[in-house]
Amino acid sequence: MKKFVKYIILFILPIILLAVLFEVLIRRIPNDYGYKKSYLDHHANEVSILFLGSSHVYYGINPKYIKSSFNASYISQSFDYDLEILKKYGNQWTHLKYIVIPVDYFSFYGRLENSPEAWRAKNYRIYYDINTDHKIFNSTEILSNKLDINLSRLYNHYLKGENDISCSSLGWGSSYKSINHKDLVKSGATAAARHTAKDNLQYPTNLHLLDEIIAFAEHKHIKVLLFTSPAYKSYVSHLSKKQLNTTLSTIKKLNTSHSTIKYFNLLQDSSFHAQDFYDADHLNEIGAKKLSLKMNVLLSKI
Amino acid sequence: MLFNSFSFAAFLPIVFILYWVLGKERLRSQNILLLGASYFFYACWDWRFMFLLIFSTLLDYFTGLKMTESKNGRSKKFWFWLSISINLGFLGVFKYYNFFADSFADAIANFGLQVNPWTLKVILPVGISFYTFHGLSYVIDIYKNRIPAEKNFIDYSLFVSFFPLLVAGPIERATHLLPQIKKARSFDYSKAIDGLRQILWGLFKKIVIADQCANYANMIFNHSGEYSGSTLLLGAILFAFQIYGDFSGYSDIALGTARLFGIELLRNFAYPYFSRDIAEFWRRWHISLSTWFRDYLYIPLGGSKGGTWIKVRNTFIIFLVSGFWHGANWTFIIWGLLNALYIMPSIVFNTNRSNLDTVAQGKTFPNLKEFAAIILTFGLTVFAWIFFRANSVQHAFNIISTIGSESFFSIPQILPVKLFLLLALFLLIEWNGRMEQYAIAKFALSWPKPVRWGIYYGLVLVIFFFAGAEQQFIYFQF
Repeated sequence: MKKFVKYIILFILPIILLAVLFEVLIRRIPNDYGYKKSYLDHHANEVSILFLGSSHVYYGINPKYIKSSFNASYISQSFDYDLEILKKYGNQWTHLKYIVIPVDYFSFYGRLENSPEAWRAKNYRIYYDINTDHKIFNSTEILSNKLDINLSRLYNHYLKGENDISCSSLGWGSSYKSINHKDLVKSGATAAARHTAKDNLQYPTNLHLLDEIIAFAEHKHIKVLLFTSPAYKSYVSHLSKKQLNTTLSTIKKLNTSHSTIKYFNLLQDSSFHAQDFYDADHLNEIGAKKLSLKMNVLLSKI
Repeated sequence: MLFNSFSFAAFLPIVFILYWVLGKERLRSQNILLLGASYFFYACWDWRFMFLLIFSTLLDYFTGLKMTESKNGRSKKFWFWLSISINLGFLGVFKYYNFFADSFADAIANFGLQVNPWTLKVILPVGISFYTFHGLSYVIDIYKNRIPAEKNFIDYSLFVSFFPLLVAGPIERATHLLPQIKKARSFDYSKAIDGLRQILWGLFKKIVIADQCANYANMIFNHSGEYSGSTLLLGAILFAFQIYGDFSGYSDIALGTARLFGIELLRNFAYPYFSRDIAEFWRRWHISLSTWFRDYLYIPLGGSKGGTWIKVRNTFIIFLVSGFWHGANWTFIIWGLLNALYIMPSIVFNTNRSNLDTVAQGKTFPNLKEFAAIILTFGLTVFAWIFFRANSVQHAFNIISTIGSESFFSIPQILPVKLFLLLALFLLIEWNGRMEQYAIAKFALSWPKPVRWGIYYGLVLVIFFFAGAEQQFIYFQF
């Protein structure tokens, strides 16, 4: 038995040491989550307009066009993470006047942990110090990413000098360029299918989370702007009417029951055209400028 | 808790250390520990189904005792049929009720009548087919006076619920496993190392072979309408490797894990894709299920006695039941019947036992005839797998008709060259180790330790390289 234990330790030790080394090196690579946290750590008290939500806002709103704003949204970021970000800097939002949150077709029906992007949950724990679950996977880089991905990250950073930051200094995702646009017709159908829920199990939790965000804002005398992001017609035409109507009627109810919130439905806004979209449900840099300027106008109205 | 998960990687060493710390002098404590660990392992799936597992265990334990205590045949028969009917009743309700209700509604609809059958909205309790078959074999063996009833409830419960085999087999027999549970077990270094080696090979089969093949096979089968005949055939071949890597990988991990605790489980796979005919394939594929059906269905039905007609009938019955065992879907039934058809010539002409040895024994390569026989058998198996994998019978026929179209002669739309190289390497290792219980059982054992360890590190590295999200094992759904 002693011999067995000795050899097992000898065999496993190099693997563990290598894993720890990988973990340390990967964590040192600058990335969007770490950047956003660092920005908020230092500037939360200067932000007067905060954008939260998922990729629709991350790629769709460029704070460059909106004074004193910051885009804290990220890909697949659901209401639970929005709330946690708000709570994390609770006392530092000294100048915060508006919180802007997208309430899209899928917002009430999914959460990061249940999506194909669930692997991103570790970034909130590691780089944001936000824990919404207790999975061991979400505490480490090496356990939550495939080895080849991690190896290429290490290679790109330590040998090619690249980093993982893809957002602008104010948190806008700048990688969805108009020249690389996707097939709008095809992507509309696939995105709508991906966003259409099989059940409404997450609905009550998400509604409760949005309620909490609104309550947080009311407590701090912050106004909340809810909006449904613009999308291309190929996406809209494939949406489930039932899911969409439930979402819209829920927002309507919220809108009437809270004086601090204002809602704008931009889903089929006629000012957005094919050239504004990267794919059927994400704007490119041209569309992002358009939406940001529009948002500026909408914010001035409330 | 999946075998290919980090939670299992934490669970196994803890149980292993506690188990051997208790030592062989404390057999009862060791068995209690293993039983507790097994229940914990099962509860990690869904604690609610624990009650079903415990009820099934209690049922067979008590009916077993009652049968042994019975003073007359009538009473014995009563307890026997009580156990059989409740066991099969549970299996029927959880696994087959919806299938029968829907099939009945479809049949009625053909006569212009509409019925809305009441269907169950429950998930299939994981491992129910496996632990029910454990219990059935135990009860049948007692009824047939092959074994006495087990009096020790802990030992019997462990026989049913031992965690390495609980959710997907191998389907054990009381005659094989219970004596091992009751006997003091001492730590054996070489067996433990062998167990770890088999676990490593099982993980390689699952994560590197099965999961990588699954990426392509799923893509092709799930969008079969978009692909050419040649691509669909490739998808079927990749599925053949997926299901083999998945299930035999699982079995390797189960056998290796049990060996760490000093327990030998029944072998489940013996290089089935190197078989020279379908009869040999079925002696090498899911062996514990094939032999279960042979011993508890085929032989009681008359087996090979009574002439060709009886043999043909019994063979069809066991393949039909085997197909049905895999799931409540017509695709599995056709898969079973197709295999029955394949094996029929060898049953009729009495050649089903002509390939009892391992192919090309003592030789490096097979001869041309053996090679052709292996390819033909593999081809037939791949064809049958189309039904096994397809979502419906219509889906399978659509795939087959596209394979039979002109597009069969086009270059496949998907050509995963890296995966082909990986499969070639895998087949080479399997071929090289085909005389052993698992492919790397004796591989490089005589080589210097640094080289051997280098190979193991290489395997670990490849496993981590390909490891992604934990993928469920296919056979958990059965």
